[in-house]
Amino acid sequence: MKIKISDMLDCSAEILTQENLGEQCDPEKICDLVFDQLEIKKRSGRKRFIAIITIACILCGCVGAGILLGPGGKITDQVTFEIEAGLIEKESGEKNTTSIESNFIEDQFLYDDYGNPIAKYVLEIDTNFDKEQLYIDNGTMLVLHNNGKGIEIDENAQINMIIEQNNLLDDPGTVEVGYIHNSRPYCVEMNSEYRTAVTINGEEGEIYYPYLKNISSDRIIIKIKFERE
Amino acid sequence: MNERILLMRLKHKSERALTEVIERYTAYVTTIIREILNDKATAEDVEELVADTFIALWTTAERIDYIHYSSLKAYIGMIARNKAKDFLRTHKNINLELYDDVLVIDDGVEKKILQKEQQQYIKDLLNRLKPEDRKIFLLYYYQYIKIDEIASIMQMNPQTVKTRLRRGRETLRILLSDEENIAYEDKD
Repeated sequence: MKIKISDMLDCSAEILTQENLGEQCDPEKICDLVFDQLEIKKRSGRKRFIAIITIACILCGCVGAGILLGPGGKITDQVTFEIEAGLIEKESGEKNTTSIESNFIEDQFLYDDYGNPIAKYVLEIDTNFDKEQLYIDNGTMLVLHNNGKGIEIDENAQINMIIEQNNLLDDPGTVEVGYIHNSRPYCVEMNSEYRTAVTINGEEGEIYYPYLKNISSDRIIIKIKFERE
Repeated sequence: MNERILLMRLKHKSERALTEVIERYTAYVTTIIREILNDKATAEDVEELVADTFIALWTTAERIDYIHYSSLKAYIGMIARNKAKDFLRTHKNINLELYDDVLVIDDGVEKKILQKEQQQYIKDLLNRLKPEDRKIFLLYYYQYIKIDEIASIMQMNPQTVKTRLRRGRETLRILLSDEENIAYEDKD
């Protein structure tokens, strides 16, 4: 067997290098350089993506500036939603390159014990915690907030969430319902019913962010209603 | 955030994780690159190479098999050293060739030694070498300082430096061959 000594020392840079605190590069400047370069790469990828989508729109006979659906969100216009729902491509098997981040969940809780992300996408949805119609793609987690704030529980009070599924393909999907508390997600209920009622009993003065996660293979569309007791 | 989670997030293309990695390791990467380049590059070159290191990390993160590496920091260090050496080769036409860099261990089947195993061998080697021999070994094989220069730094004659290097190589060869009872004689 042959091995290069210099290669072995390269592998050991971590133990051999004492950081010199003298002349150093500015991390902020390095960040700018790195993201500038990566943006250039992203932009060239994006141009290709836009070209493909434009062609797809023309082929489908779609005219106008329809916005393609993301992995989840509010439904504000049912007609447009149903038209655009057909434009979403099936998963091609390519790796998901969207980062999993959340302002409401601590990084350590975004992955399970095996290092797998808890969802393919984590989206934060601004809502007034009254009534909302949402769509959720497979593997997507929606965290609900009201202008960055969660729901505060009063003494002896509870929050009820009534969730009704109204999917384009009729069959109910499997949805997980829970809340984020102290930056950590807690599952309350998981089922495949048309109608689910979930109660969050909390501590007085504590803040909770409800979440919904689609763990079935197809997109689900839900109406959610909040009730305080 | 611990390294394992950082790496997971990098694999999933988290820009926030990349920012944290840059903040955490810029000083380390800069030191590594300056160690190799010395005065052969401008401050702008060094900055660019540091940035290139993190870009290479970003583009290869998906392929990193964490269990084969001692740490994310080790992986970044390897990238940084290769970037610096490539720069010298392509921009300054300097090839960092070393005398007696290759160790032949045995005639057995070629096996790949993982990064973290190689690091362990180097740790063991450095523990076994006398301080002067350790210093000479690193000046030569890690910092690519020429033998004449090392002799000047250590105030020895070049032949003594070569002898000490040979000793270090032999000790490493024995460690890699898993031979016991390492004979370490002070011939000076």
